[in-house]
Amino acid sequence: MEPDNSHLTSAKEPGRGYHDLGGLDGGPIETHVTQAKPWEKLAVVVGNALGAKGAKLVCTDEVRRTREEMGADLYNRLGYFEKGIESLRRLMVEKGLIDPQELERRMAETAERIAKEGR
Amino acid sequence: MTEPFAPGDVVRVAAVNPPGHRRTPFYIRGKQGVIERVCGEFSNPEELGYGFDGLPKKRLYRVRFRQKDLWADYDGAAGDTVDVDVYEHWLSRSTSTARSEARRR
Repeated sequence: MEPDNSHLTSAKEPGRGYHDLGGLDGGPIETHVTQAKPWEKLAVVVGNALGAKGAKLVCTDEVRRTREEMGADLYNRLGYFEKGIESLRRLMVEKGLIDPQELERRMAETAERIAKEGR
Repeated sequence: MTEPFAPGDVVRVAAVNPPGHRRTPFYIRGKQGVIERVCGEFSNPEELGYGFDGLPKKRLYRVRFRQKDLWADYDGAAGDTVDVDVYEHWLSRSTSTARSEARRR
């Protein structure tokens, strides 16, 4: 079930970006620490490989900017690592480094393979 | 080139909400604070965010705000402050003659 966090990011004040949460009541903090999932670690690795410590194809400010462009609905629906991957996908497409149709095709192939072979 | 601010100067953050990638949080826009220190010059993140080189570099300041200036319902101690790093192009010399509590701390 998706958490209803619309109260955090809905524009309570005109001009406030949905990502700009400073001073809003965020509710109780979830303090339960979980082990990072492999895909979450991979999300960080891909970001590092493309960023300042790697190929320098993207910078931190671009990654932040694309998070701020994905719209409140998607921003609230995606988790932290998902936002990171979606942000990188948008930048790779924007810079012409990947073709969105090819990405869709490869993802469909991967999903089919996982359904068949389990991995 | 704008005359740089010095520690102790009273400044006001621009009361604007422009579209695009901005590094000045909403809750200090239009608010008055005091320069706590000059942090140095950095490539402009508002340009870096779109793939530009961020040059010329922008001067960054640490600005101290009184909590009760930021939050209408703040019920903590009157002397409580928060420091926020703000780029020079967001700041103007405050016309207010009132000296902030924060400056004396």
